[in-house]
Amino acid sequence: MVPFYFGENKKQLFGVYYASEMQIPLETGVLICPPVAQEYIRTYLVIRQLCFLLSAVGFHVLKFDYFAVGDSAGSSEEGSVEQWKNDVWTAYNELKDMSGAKIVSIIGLRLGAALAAEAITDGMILKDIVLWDPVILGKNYMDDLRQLQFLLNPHKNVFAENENEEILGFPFSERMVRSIENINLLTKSIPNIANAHIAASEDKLQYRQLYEKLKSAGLDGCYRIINEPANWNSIRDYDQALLANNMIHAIRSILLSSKDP
Amino acid sequence: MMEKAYKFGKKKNLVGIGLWPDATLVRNNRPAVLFLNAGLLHRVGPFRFNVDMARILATAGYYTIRFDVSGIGDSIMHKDSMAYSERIKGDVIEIMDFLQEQFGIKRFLLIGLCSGAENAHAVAAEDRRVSGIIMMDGFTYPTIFFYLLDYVPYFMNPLRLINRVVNRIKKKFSPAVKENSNNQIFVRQFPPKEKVAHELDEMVQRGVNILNIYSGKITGYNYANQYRDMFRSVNFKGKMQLQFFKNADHTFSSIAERKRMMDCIFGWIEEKNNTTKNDNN
Repeated sequence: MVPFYFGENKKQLFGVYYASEMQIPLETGVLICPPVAQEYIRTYLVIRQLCFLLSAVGFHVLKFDYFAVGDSAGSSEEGSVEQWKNDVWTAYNELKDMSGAKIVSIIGLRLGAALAAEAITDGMILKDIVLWDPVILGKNYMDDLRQLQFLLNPHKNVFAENENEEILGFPFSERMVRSIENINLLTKSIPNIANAHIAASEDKLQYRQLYEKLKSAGLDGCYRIINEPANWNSIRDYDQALLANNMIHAIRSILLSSKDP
Repeated sequence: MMEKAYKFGKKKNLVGIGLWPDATLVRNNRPAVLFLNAGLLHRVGPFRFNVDMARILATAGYYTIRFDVSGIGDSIMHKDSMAYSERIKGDVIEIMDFLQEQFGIKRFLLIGLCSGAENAHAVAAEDRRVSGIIMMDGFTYPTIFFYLLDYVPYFMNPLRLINRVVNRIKKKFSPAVKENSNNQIFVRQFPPKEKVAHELDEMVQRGVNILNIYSGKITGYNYANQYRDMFRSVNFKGKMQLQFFKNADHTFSSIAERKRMMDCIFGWIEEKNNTTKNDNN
């Protein structure tokens, strides 16, 4: 397990690399794209558990913090989808460099799933993408966050301090909000990938719609429901660490059993 | 300034981020500032407080380390039979040892929220290299005035009192509620107050500076001077400063309250490290 900084000088990203623990490692690297803001805090532990699980069965794994998130450079309000897409690309290259992996799979959780899908470009050689409880419509995601903020404190003026919107303790700049609200995975095409899977902690119409879209685009993959509700929009759970043991085991199975391209 | 990731400790199991200020800003004899974990949160702190505070301190020339103790964040749990509270103390001491050996740093200031505050106190009580501690929502022993403030509203509003009694009975006899409270995986239990008071006495004798910050919405603390009343037996000799942020919640989720708290911390650290005096000496 190697904690380190990488990327361009003024926008250093923090990452943790987990080398394969098998004597003969798999040829696949796995890049993990986390959520942002409060969901990033909530999911830090379960993502670490996922890293250990995957490296134990032979994958080279890299998890990282986007610019303006976690330990990476940048103030919290400086993030944006455009920047974070670049960060996914930077992390992808770093993983390939560090591990020598010939091919990479990506696991994206919540907004990380959307960022992973948005970031895929012609230059990436990808085997699988696993969209774990993906944010499909950015506008809905922002509305859900605002609703949580309202439930937490109905009287709060979320624009009290400056032009940033304060949501669950984090500043969201106008640029960040706009870029998130523009996300729509139902209209986004995902090129250059063999298998696209959805791993859902509960069944949702939007997840099924996305799965149908992926299938009709010719992608192989599965829609797996692991009944372990994460309660992303619950005021009771918004600040609780996510426990998702069954889900991370399911994701490991998905990656191990998926077809080679 | 430069941020660097480290694996600390004798077994290289502790992950942390060192933030080194520009060399031109560094002054001799300043303590390095160590951020301890708040509860089960990893080293970035609630709402990235540790990251933001560390970067502010770096602009004033302080070395900072934010790190995860064993089993939290990215740090691996030691496989030994040590009690967890002792393990955490050991982790902090190992990091101080590392900084002393590698960089010659001999004085440390510890910052902690919630269980981090208690751990900061525990390390300071044991290790003479700690010259200051900042405890946020640390110990909350009840006082007479605490009970008065807590119970008077119920007697002024009998309906509220009835509600409270009913809830207490429910808690005692309801299996669902019992299971819910038994499922709490993080419950604070403080050491005996006399022990803490004795340790504070010794720290003050040694010259340790203490900043206590309390939020207005924590259970067990409901007025500004409660800390002084909790430890009436301790003569702090002016070494303890107490701040009460009445409108803040336990993790300072409000950006405005968090900024006020960070300004308070920065001002206190600068005042206690009295840079002009040290430079002249």
